[in-house]
Amino acid sequence: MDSQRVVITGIGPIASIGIGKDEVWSSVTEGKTGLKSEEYSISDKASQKFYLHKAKDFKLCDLGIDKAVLNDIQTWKDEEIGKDLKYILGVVKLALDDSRLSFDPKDTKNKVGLVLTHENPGLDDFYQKVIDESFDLLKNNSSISKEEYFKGFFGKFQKRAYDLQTFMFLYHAAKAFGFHGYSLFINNACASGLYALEAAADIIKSGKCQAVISAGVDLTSIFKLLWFKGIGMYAEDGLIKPFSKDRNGFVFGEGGAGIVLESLESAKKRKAHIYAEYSGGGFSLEGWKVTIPDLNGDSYKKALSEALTKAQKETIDLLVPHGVGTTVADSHEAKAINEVFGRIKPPITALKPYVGHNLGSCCLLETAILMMALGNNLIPATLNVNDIDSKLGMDLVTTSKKSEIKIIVKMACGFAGYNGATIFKKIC
Amino acid sequence: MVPQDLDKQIKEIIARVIELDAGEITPDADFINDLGVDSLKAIEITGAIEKAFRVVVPEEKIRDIRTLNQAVSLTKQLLEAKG
Repeated sequence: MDSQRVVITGIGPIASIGIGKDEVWSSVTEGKTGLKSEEYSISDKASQKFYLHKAKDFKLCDLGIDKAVLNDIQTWKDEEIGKDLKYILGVVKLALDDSRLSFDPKDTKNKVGLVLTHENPGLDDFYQKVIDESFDLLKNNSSISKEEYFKGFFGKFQKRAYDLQTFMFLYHAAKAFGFHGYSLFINNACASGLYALEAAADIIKSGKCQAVISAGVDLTSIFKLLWFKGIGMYAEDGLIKPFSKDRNGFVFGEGGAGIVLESLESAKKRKAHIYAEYSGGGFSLEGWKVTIPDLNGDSYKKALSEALTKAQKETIDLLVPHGVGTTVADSHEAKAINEVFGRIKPPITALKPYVGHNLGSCCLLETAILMMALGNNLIPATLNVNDIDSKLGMDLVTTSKKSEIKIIVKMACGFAGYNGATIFKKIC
Repeated sequence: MVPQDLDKQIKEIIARVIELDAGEITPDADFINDLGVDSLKAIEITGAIEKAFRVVVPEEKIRDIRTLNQAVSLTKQLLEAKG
């Protein structure tokens, strides 16, 4: 039944390598990355340099969003919209435009839903403001009482803190576009994007929505950089080298993507361009540690095996692992892939060397790139890998190659043990 | 309860995980520098100890378990805390 089949009809990526699908795909095919070294300051004097894939900037006013609605959001916030919300609006707008989905934003009965994901929306801006403004408050008044400090702090930050709640992030974004259908906020760490696609598919199959936009972004801050450096996952040379002998961690990528999903029935009816069918996925939760995967368990393998049942035993033409380039996570992935596929594995490539690690939005950004790979029958090379770790048994595609692609598996293993694997199938 | 032969049991677990003869594992031999164990096996050792003794090793302690003695000492502490 076409109403029970879910397809992708719009993609809106924003990354260090471009804004929109054409710029992003063009960079991928040319092997370009957006890696930069940026200075971050934690005081008036000291600054530290970090590598990251910095997102291209754009003007919010160029998005064509109803100005009255944007003004209303700004009035509520009593400040600027903030980077996270700005980029979410950007990727959703690009995806909507790409899909040419038509709906009436003023019709409160429209059945367009939004599934947003972000690991910590607004938190970094909040952190910075608390530090800056608290410091000024204390510096200018050394005899301040606890009550005065509490009142000053609460007065300044109560609304900002309120807006950190994820339902507010969803509210602002849905309001900006006039989505009134069943909507969710999802947070499953780095696997969030796959969970967001699965949730969108479930919503569509249930008949609650005609179309759902799954979207996520991530922007980098000194707080994230220091945390990941502290736990030894930051690649000091700036290079993500998935599954290679000299892998030494990752660097962040900024941006994300919006993905428009709808039923095959709806897409056919409105003659939409269909990138692929989202055939579903397998998911598992290890429940072991936060920053370390359960190497003794088989949770990730179970997620992958379950996803493969959705491929209905057809040959997998491309497998894209999480590929973060850390010693432990890459081994964890290799173990699951080897146990499921044995010696004969599909072509494998990892995309994070192009765009960095976008945390909660990485799977959506990579899905957007994979839709272009599927349409162009091109497997992008895994960059930065000169010496594959033979112990892992992963034969990566290290030179981009034309190859007919009908089915793709995208995997992710997130912090706290959130695992996922999903299937994208070309509709012929 | 802390088993009387805790040292022996943990030594056997480590030997099994790192595929080495138990006799080669001396109390203070560093897993990584002396026994050639990689960081992945060190994590597997933690998982195996947790399973065998039904304890939960705090995440920040995992990287500190570098010798048999350290593994025994931490497991003992966790078992005693369990009561």
